[in-house]
Amino acid sequence: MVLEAPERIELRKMVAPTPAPGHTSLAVRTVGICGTDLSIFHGTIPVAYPRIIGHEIVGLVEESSDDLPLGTRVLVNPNVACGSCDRCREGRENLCTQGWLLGRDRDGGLGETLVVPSENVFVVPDAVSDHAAPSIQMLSTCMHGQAMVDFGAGDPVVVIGLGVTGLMHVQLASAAGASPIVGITRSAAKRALAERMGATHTLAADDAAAVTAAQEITGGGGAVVIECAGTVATLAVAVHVARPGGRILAYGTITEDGGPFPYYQLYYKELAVLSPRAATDDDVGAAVGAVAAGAVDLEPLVTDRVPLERVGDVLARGGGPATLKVVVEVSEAA
Amino acid sequence: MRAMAVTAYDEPLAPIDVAAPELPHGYALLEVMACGVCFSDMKTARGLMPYSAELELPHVPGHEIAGRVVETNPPGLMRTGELVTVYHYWPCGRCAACRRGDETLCSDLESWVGFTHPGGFQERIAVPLGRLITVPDSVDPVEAAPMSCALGTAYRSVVTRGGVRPGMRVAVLGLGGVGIHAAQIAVSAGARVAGYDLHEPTLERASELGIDARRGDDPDAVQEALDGTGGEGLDLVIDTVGHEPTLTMAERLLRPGGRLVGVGYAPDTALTVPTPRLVLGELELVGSRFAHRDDLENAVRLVAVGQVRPVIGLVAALEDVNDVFDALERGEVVGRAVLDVAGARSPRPVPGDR
Repeated sequence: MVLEAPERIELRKMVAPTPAPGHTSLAVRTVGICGTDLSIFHGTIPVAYPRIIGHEIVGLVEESSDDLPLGTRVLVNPNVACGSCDRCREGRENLCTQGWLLGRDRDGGLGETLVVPSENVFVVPDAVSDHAAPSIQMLSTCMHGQAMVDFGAGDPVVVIGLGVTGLMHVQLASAAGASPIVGITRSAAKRALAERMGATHTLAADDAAAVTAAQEITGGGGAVVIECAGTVATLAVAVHVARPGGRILAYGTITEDGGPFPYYQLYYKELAVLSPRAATDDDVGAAVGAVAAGAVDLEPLVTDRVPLERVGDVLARGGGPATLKVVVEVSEAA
Repeated sequence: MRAMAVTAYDEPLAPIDVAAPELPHGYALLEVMACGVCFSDMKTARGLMPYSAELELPHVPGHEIAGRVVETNPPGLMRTGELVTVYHYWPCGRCAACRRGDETLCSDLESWVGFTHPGGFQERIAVPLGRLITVPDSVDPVEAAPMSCALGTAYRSVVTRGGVRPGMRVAVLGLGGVGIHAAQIAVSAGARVAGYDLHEPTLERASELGIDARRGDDPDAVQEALDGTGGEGLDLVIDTVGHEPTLTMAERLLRPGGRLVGVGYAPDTALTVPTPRLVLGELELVGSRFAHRDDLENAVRLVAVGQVRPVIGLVAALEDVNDVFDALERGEVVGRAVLDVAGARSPRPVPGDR
């Protein structure tokens, strides 16, 4: 499926790419759709057209420079890095200045065949379904973020916004022994899901007393507050529910230019705000490990499955309140 | 007021009558509910500590104290009956280490409860309000007693100094009072943990708690652990023993770039690491001393939510402390031994423990 212009996506016959040395060719199996894809579709994030979008990619190996057996099921780290710039040399290849994101800067997963650098390919554990596997990419970005705030077992953690990534953060915090774990969202259904996934308490975002309640439950505020809704207003809530000296993980991508924000509280509580972007290969490996070890269950996060031809409808109408992860079936199961 | 005290270094502890403590401004008076017993109490009792020559006798030992608040000065600052554990380092607050926030490294401790100052082998004790950590009422006071030392020390070694993260491969050497809690904390933090000891009942209890418990003297122990990581080695090793065999084992278990946390020590043991391993393998060698108060608070929270279970292998009456020393010396105690000072529990082994 090729995005020809904002909000115009069409099925086209293409010439299959052939792998250069050091690359792996995949028959794409499933692709997860995330907020970035919606923004690219609507043109809020501009790209060079025509563009094949999709960056949460799982496929079967067709040909590999790494001698992976034909048919091995793999996941792609969509952040392709140059490996030689200053950031890459620091081990922060997610910030590579010469690299690109598959599905945004170069063609991505919503096509039958994809060629990627072999170092960006990770074998998917057998226990993970084809539909859950693309979300390992998103999980890796959550793990990248949590490594930046570095909390310990027994530390109180607050998660604001309990969509797919918020629920992943809840599960990771639970696996790391955080306690209590307070989830805040508007959706009653997501609160219930969060409680099943390890949140010790959940609060309704539209309840005026939510901030006070979160401070009480955590005994004075979260040591770490993870903001997943991606608005200035919810980042402001994060400032209010963090304890003095706490750390805020501004995980949700904020595209607003500004808005009311408690700058004085930011100073007064000496808060650190950390803004993670994407993930390194190390994070992707860790995410695969976390899923293989059963620390994170991705299956309940997949709510919708659509065939490739229908992806335009999904992108155009977006998700309803019950939608978590939409997965596109690019090809039939092997 | 009943107390068990050191009256002479070659004598068992003896019952003495002591005056009820005064309650200075800024202190809380506690009814001592229970007090843990560890090897260092025995060393204090037998005059084997560095301060023994200067210690004034009779001396009341005991540093793992759980108590209930009787009253505070000024009154009303804590709830009467509130269950607390005592943070038994009372730092000066003025030395360079204190000003850095390194309160366990204080160079001029105002009080070292149970060691150089009167401890918990008595019915009541007065403690500065800032040295009390509240324990939820759901926790049994006998289980709360070893929290300050065994549990808090374990927490700091694994989380604060060890930097454990989910998925890490961790070994805990020695599953005594600190080790059996350290292994549980590492599991609760999402690590893949193997615990090593020589004492069969301890290994059994650790297995019941979900720890992959192994014999440390198995000649294949190190090779099996390395094989489990594809030959690379472990991310983190917590040595709670600090004797030559465990230090050697720790060094062999670590992966390049891995971290050794030493939390057990012996006065005459030196750490020997081949310099190529240290330099070319970029090993991290880290010491861990007791716990900061926030370490202890987090550890208490893990117990309150059931992620970590205090392991109490022996409960005895205050007057039976000499029998407890004997049991410790024979290496019979799994986890910690606790004196039920207030007699809230009948003195008997905890069911399921040995």
